[in-house]
Amino acid sequence: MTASMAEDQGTSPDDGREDLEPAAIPEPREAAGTEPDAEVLTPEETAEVQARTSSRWSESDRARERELLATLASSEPGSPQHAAARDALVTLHLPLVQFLARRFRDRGEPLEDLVQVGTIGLIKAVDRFDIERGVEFSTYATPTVVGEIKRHFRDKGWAIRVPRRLQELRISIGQATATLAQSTGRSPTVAELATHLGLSEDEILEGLEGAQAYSTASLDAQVGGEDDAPNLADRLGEDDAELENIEYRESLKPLIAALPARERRILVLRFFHGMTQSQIAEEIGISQMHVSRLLAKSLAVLRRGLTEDE
Amino acid sequence: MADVNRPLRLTVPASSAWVVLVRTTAVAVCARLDYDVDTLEDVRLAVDEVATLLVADAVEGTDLSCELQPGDDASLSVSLSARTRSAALPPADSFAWAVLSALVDEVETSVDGDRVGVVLRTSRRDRVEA
Repeated sequence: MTASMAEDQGTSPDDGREDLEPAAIPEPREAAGTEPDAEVLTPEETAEVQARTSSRWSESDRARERELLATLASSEPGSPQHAAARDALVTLHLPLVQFLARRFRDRGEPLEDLVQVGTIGLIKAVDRFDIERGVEFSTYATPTVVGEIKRHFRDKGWAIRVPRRLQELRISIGQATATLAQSTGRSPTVAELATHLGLSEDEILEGLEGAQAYSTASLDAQVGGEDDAPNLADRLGEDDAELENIEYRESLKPLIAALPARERRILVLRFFHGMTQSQIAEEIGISQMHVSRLLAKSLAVLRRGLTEDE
Repeated sequence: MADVNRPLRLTVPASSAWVVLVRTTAVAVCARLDYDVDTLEDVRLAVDEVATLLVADAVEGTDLSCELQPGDDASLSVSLSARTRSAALPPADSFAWAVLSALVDEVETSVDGDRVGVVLRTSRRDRVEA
């Protein structure tokens, strides 16, 4: 996915893509009432990110980066040398994108989607980087990549427009749920979430309710990504066999079969294996809130299908 | 937490627009009982499932009744009922029952004339599962 992906999504600086100055992307912190972590990367964290990603670099990587940046600056945009240097730079910095994308996982969006949008940010950064400015490329690229990922959450994540405060509340609750579950080994109560986040129980309930409006577009979007995962596909086969043994109305079979693979798996794990939402979340690698949403959505799809059938 | 064991009754028009209120109320009661989020979200799904089933079959212009009764040991019973056109329950082998029995500890049903009732019983799960 490295070089070819960079090529697929490659954009020249003047191709009409929304042209935001990278420096303009990180937004000021929201006022009181939101969890600080909602802003994701503090300046200290940004420094940490850079330290962690660049410390894995060998001296030859650094030399190569300098060389590529120099080639990029000196060659004609559109020329083969320019294109090659551009692709190579993007490839070289993909670990940075992956690192940053992982900061946003467990928020209901598939990691590979985050890596993809982050890569778009990286490409933008490569195209705009000015070697004369004298800053490290990773310092320059980080806010652009993070900005692109955050924009993805803001623009694509919600099925209906939900106030920013609620969106951030949902994110905070998701993180707190994961943190508390990890320390206690069970899913937290509303009171525990409220204490942990310094919010009232009513606010937590509001956030949980609001989370139901969050959509990952998963019914349409997820299938492609999962085709690449042979392990999951293998296990799905077993679950399908198990489904055959369960008594339910014949009319339900095609409806369940029509669910995307991941939704079907969640349904089976919850209703036929008796796993809890948290356990499923762990197994599939998404958040418990995401599991909850997908279950609600799948049940609604099945119900609608059955009603139409009658 | 005063009066936490007193029943709470809610009657809404039997229309899908009001299902969300019933569901949200049930969730709020679960939170008062200090249920964990897994259990609470299961109750949300279960109440949604039953309420939607009843409302879909309800006699025009009638109500959906919901009674939430907290019991000892932080158990909760949610009784939902409505007057239905079919005056019958969905078949016992239907998917809805498989779903409900996975979500709550006990499901009890009743038919009295055209009034169909479903009682969901659940409790706080103090699990120590991995």
